[in-house]
Amino acid sequence: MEFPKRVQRLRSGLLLGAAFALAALPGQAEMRPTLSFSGVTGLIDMPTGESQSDGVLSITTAHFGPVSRTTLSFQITPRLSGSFRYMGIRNWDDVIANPYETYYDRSFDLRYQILDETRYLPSVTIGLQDFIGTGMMQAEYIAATKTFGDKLKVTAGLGWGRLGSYQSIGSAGTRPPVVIGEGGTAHTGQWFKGDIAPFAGIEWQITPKLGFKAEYSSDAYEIESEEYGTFERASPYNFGLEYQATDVLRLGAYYLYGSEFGVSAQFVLDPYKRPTGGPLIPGPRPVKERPARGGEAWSEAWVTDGSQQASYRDGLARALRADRVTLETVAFTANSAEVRIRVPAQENAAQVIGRTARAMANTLPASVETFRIVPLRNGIALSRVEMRRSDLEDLDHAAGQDGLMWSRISVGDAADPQTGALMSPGLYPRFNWGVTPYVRTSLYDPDNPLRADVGVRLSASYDIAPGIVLSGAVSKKIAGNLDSSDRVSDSVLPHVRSDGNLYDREGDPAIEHLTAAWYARPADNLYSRVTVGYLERMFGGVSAELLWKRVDSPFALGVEINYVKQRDYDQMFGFRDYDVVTGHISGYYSFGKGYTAQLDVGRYLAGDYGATLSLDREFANGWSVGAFATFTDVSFEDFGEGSFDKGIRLRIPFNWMLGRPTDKVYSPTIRPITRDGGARLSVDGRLYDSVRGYHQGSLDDMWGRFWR
Amino acid sequence: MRAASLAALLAATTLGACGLGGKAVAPVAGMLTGARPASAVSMPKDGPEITVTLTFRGIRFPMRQLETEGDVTTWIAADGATMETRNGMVIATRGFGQDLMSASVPTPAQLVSGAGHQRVHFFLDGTDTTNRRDYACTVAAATGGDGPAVAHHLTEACVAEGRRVTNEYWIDSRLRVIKSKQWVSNHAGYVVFSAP
Repeated sequence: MEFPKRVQRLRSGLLLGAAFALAALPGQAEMRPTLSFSGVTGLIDMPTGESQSDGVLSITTAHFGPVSRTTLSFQITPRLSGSFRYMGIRNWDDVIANPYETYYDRSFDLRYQILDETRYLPSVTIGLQDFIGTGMMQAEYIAATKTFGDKLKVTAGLGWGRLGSYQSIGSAGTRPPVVIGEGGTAHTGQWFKGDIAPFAGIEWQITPKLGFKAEYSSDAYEIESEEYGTFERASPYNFGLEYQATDVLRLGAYYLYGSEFGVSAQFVLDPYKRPTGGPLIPGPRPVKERPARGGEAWSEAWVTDGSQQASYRDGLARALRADRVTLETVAFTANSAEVRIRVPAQENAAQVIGRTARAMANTLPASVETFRIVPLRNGIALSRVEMRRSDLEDLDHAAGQDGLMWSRISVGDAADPQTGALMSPGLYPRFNWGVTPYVRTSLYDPDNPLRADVGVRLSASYDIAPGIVLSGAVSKKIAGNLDSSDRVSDSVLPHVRSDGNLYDREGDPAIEHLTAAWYARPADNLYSRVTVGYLERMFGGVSAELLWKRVDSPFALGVEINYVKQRDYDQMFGFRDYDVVTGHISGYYSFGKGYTAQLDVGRYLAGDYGATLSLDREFANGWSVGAFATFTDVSFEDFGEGSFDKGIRLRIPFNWMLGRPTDKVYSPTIRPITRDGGARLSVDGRLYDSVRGYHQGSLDDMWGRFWR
Repeated sequence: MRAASLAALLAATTLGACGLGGKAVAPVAGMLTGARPASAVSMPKDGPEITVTLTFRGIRFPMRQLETEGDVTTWIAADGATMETRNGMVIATRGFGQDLMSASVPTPAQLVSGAGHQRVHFFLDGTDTTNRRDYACTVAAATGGDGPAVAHHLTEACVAEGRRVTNEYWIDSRLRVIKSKQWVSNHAGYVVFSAP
């Protein structure tokens, strides 16, 4: 029978073509909450009382007349959401002479939904706009939204600050004037003070894909319109049409304030909805059941025969290779086997354990009943997952198999060295190299808010022995305009980060890093790292870290100490004459359900002392969204624009997007501004993140993938 | 200048992508070279074969018997996607998009008896968290449809959390499922196939 044609059709059809098939899904009946010009759940320029679905990450870019806003929003919990916005107002020098043709500003929002919609009551949200920033966009609001039928939503609300600036109906005391300063401080004194004005609007879903919005805006645009004359606000009424182009993208066209046309694009990513439905990888090999106990197959003679052991080891290594798992060692007794495996960096940990267990069940002699699987990263043991082979056989086709299996395994520490292990041949030393393209950007410079270089990076690593790694990377720019920044840092602190443009300009080619690292397990629950060399683009020296983390504990404690010297701008082998001892004590805590906190206390690169608090929400699929802020003994004034270091960090694995195994991750850290205070060394291989994926709190969240 | 700065602004936050302190490096290589999956198991060259249709995804493809263990048969497609059936009842899929991870299902004999029953499906949401759905099901005789002339032509209507799915079976007098249409997931829809 001829097969190839059908096979080909299937390849493009089943595993790889799922993203395409999504388009064919029937349209959703309910009205999804949409986003406003400010990138928060809302109408056109006004907010509504609803929230996005839990975990939703959105980027909205909206433009009308001279105003442009791009906003990143995250639904932190089902009720709480946060936004970071970058805004530009053109024609800034039309009426009032000043050096800027375009005024750029950043702002942060927080919103909290206090009431869910019920049959009779609307959903109600209270919001703080630009609560920490220059204060230019500052407003507070309370908005209520009620759905009628399945096609109409009506919103009404009250605004303060900017949203109370048009046709106010009353006032709540006097609002202190906004002092547009360095930004970065919360304007608590102004919240819900001063004039109050109402706003309202409707959203009508004409067809499942097409929506109409109309609103009455309570924002007078005093600064943009009356003061700077960038556009004429002739009317409070705004109208728009929005089109749901795909599940992810919504496009809009609008007529605003009686004088301007506008457009917007809303990108909405929901971690609960994989673009491909699920991981598009082949199914696992079914667990082969052993013959009835007692027969020849159950002989234990193999365990005294070195060549038989080696052949079982090699058979297992072959079976694991298909899942990108490398067998480092295996230790046999007649009734047990402990394997130490090198795991793919971004693969789901539960799935790696599951596939390894199946490979063991399908290759090892029948007398082996206990499986112990020890995942390794950078040569060090992360944990030991122990299970019975008969449980694997019993549950392979059972309903609710993941919960049942989880209750029958144990996860423990694996710090002790393995005795009597057979090592796979040819693993050390091992040389790896690769050439990849890269993109490097510089954001939010008022002269040009987006600069970028593209180029190629040659990277290589050399594993000398388990835990000892030499690695390096060299980059060469091909094209870009990062070198066009001639901004001179005005920082009064040592220029530990603010000379970044000099590094961009002169580092072509650049040695990005060149290090020797040693990873080890000094004792139970302890992990260590020592890294020496050119650690990052701007600093070289020595970095040492020790982490205490029990496999079953939500708490971890780390200590890191570094002595580093600033590198020359050309990023070759030379150093500048600034050196510093920097280091932190770090506490990590996992609250459960993926909410985690990290507190680092110590000395930063500029010699300043202080602390960084980071809060993240992580998902079992590898997504994470978080924010951090650092306060040090550097005064807000000495810090300069932004007052203190803060930012947002995202992490979206490409395998979630594509459904295919890949270790690539999209993991930007977005800082509104980079200054010298509160700056930390950037060194590869920090322990906490590389260790805990195979620990209990993380493994049990994703355990459903054990059987994938 | 205006157009340029507008475009730049549009991209600025979007491409926050690449920022370590606003300046860092995003690998784009994965987009170009994402490794193709290596299949641990492959489709046998011959043996019992079925043709499977996924209704929501509108695709049709052959699967062959990979293994039989007790009353469970594992079927495999050319690209390594698999489906497990117990006496013709689908209990799991792997690689169908959103999969049915495991299930508690009635036997053909229970269906033929016509009694109401429970059905439990386990699946992973987009965050890789296991979800359980308990269906309450009723069985009714069916008419019409495109199927073989057999002793029992039945529908199994199941409701959970306001969602309704309807499976359809053609079962012969020896209680073998000859043809069926069975629910897999919101993403894949129903799977339709006939016994080999």
